Amino acid sequence: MTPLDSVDAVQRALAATGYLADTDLATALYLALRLERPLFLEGEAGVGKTELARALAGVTGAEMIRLQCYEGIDQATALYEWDYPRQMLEIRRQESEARPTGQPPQNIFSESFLIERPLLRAIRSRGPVPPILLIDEIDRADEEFEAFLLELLADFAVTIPELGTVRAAVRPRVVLTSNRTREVHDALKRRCFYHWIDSPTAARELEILERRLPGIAGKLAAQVVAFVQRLRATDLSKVPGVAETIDWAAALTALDATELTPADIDRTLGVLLKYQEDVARLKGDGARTLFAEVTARR
Amino acid sequence: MIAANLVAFGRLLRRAGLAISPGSTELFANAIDLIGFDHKARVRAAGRAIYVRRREDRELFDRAFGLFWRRHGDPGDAPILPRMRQDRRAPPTFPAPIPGSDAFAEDVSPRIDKTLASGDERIRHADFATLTGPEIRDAFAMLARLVPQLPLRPSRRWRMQRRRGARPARAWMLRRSLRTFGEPLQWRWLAHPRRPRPIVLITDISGSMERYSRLMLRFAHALAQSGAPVEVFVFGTRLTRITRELMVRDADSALERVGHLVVDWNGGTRIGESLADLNRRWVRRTIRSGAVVLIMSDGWERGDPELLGAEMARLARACYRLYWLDPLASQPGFVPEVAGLEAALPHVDALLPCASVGSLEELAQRLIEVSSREPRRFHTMSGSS
Repeated sequence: MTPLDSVDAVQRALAATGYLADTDLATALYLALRLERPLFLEGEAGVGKTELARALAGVTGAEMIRLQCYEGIDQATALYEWDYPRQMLEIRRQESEARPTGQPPQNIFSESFLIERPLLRAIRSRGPVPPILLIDEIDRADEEFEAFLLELLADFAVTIPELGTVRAAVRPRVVLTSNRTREVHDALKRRCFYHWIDSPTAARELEILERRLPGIAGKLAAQVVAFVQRLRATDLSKVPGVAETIDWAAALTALDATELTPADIDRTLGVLLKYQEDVARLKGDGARTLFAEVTARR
Repeated sequence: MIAANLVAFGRLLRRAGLAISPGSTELFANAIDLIGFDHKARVRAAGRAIYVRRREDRELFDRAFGLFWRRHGDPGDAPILPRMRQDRRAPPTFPAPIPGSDAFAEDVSPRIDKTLASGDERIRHADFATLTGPEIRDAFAMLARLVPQLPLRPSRRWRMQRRRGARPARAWMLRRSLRTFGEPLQWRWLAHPRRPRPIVLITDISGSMERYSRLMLRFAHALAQSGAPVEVFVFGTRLTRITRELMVRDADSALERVGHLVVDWNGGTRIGESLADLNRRWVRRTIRSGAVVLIMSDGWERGDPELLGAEMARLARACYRLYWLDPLASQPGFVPEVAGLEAALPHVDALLPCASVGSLEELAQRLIEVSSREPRRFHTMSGSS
């Protein structure tokens, strides 16, 4: 494991796993690690928010624990739950053993009936490397859950009435992501280091692409990036992220393309654009025009 | 010395309009301890990570930081504080409110204490455009007392209740049953609690709507103040989000803020383009979880009605209910034959009148009915007042 003791070290270590972070992101991450605060990442879908947590886990050799948020997520699905069917069976079993004493069932709320969910798992991690806790798409959870999370992130302790208080032995490293389908409360953001991930520059995107798809033809990679960069400047419902660039390049490579052609673009547009309106607008002439623009420039 | 400078920087940021919490300066100091002062980009990155909490604030921060860094020079340099003080008199040019038209200047604040008597009912049901100055004041006062019945939707959470719900609260009942030797004697249920639906109000403020847009903004303010989760936009030739401005309790000062923010009062109308902007930029952020969307406009479209139709179709797919409010709809013999309106109507759930205080009051009362099982997309005229 590389010591992450400077911004440069963080940047280098991430690059070694294939994640290229710019100075801003590396600085924010470095500070989050050193000052033990969560890192809050916001940005369009597909710019590499979740990917960063994975890369970080790779760098530190830590376990990555992921909590995917959704509307209605609550403590039972995020923290812990009791295994109700097994508890029922246990009660019946104890009954059938016909205890003459008339005692109430024993040990129903014990460790063996506890179902650990991601947050509890992160808290109970033994270390020694702090686990990476990824709280993905927090914007999808509702405000009650946010409030609960705020409390949990403050002291990483949870009280289970039957078992007592569990406190984290090692403080998990937390990465929160948001696609910004709504504004997350300031109170939560205030506890975190915040970073908005922009779409990468052309040079960086090309670098990323070549790292992720080592076999890709040089010309194709350059054209793909130029095309996507141009596409981001057009008025789309959903601009493609880096993830889409990689997928698209992979699709084109699978079709044995070594350079971009209008026909191939048409065939594979669905990999790049996720809204019917966008595909319809670009199919055929739209894509051809962009393609001509992109190829004319070089 | 550095500490003093950082405090001054924090003040500068606050003046620039960023939400600065007390711990930020200390955190920033700690961060600088770690990364040093050698790289401007890193110091700026650290500052961004701490002080910026929304993408929009980043530019603001960068400008303030540029100023700070320039003045700052050598970290041991003292004179930053006095110079910062000078800035206070002439703050840096952060996006300053552009003094807009005085659309609201003529508004006299509503005197709520005034007893509203017999004239009330007439004012309530009169077309707003026909009211005189003092009557307008009374009309606004009526709207300020609006108590809307908000539409509800089931939340995705579970809550326990005694009443029969969707499924038994097994965990609770099991725990209770231990007291009775494993025999469940008490029942509890889980159900989804109901929450207010988001309401999105989009108001036409172009020239042809001038008389009514004032009324509508009062309505929007009353709705926002009632605690409903509302988002409010206005448009003429472009779309402006005014939700934050309307959160100010006093209607006059809230609308004054709106007046400063909006640049296209009483001009032309590009409904299609404004809705396109809404669909691109705001739909996923504000129109979520089954919103009820209200568009108020007379449908006089200067742009392409076809674009308007396409954008209406998209908006309709993204929200739960889409209503079109037209002040002219209450007039006898009204036929929707304006090109824009014709293009929009196939996609709306209902066309409603909104010319009088009474019709808006009724709308606010009937919002709750949205949750009931009315069929979607009937594009006839409805609403009685």
